[in-house]
Amino acid sequence: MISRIFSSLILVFLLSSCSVTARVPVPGIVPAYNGDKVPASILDSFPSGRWRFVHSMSFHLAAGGEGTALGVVALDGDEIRCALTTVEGLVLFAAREKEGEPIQVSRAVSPFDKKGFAKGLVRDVRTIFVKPKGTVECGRLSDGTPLCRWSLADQITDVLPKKDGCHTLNTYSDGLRSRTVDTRSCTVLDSTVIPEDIDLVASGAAGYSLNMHLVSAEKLPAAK
Amino acid sequence: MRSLLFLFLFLLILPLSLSAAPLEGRGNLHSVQADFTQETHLKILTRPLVSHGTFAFQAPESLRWEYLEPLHSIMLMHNGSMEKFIEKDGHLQQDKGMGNGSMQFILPEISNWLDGRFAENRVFKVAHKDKRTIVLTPKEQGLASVISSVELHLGQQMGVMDSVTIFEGPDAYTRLTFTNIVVNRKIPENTFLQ
Repeated sequence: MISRIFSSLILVFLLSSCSVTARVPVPGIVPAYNGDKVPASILDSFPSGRWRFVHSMSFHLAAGGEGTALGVVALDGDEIRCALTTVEGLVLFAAREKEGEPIQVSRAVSPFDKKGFAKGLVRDVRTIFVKPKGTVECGRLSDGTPLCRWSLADQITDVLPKKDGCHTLNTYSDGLRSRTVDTRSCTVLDSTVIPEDIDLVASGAAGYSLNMHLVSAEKLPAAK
Repeated sequence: MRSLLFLFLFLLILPLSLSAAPLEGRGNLHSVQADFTQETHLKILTRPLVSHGTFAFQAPESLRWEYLEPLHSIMLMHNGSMEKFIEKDGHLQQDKGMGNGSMQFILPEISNWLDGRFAENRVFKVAHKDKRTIVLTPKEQGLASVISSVELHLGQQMGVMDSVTIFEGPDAYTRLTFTNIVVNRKIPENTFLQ
């Protein structure tokens, strides 16, 4: 059973690289007058500087299977360091990635050493924590919902602020939705919006959901 | 991954068993309770991941291992069964991934340790670094890829462990430090049941 659970956790990230069908297409956007100006409420949703977050992570596969692990994410500019541990603290996986450079995996206990796992994990971490890259355009959807849209090649990321200070984020690949990140129960720490709960849903037939509950958020001092 | 879980249970129980069976031979210790602080050190993280908790062990095979922070979880072993609970949405929920089959693997080892037969450990080679430090190294290569060694530091009190350091590799180690240690106090049975 344990093996199946952790294999499922692997699948969560491996499947993220699979092609899926029946996904939602990119909605149209009505640009605002100052469409290239991103509101602070959206910018504050992405931590800047040095941070460390610890989450308890529960995952559920559409095909069955669930599990819990602890996730540690350290952000330092364009560098991401992340680790997965068991609830008891044994390190399952640890890696760092500096944007534009190969992922450096410092520890990967089997089956977390499977090809594609590190890439899938880091991609989801970036989707959740790092401000999207590309050209930006802010405006409204046809139903009036405000959003800002980042476009980079065939990748589109929409960030839709919510009235409670949290946000929903949708990513699209090749014109179809690939990820939805929904944040809830947000507070502000050091001018950064910190959600207590984060739900990530991968769309499509091979979909999965990942629920992250905040254990700690810590702004780290600037590196010397 | 099952082996990793077994390994962790080994590491939990080993210091407790040693507490109940000092090196000089099986002693009169039959129960241990303590608080613990667990620090997981990773080279890529600027600060260790710190957990706090408490445990109770009653010879020969009853254990309550409870993490209070950062994530509340409880592992219970009693009368040949094992249960694990993890806090989700503010409530403790049973982790169904924890099978009773684990006990069949662990109990013979506990029995060995309680009899002071550390050299007969089929998982680790046992060496004495000094008078108060025992070093365990995995016998099997597969396990060695997960744990390179374990150091057990005996305290001043006979048979009681000060700390356990689990070296997971060159870039990672986990250290458990025990405080408020109480030995030979009768532990109510329901401690291991709920």
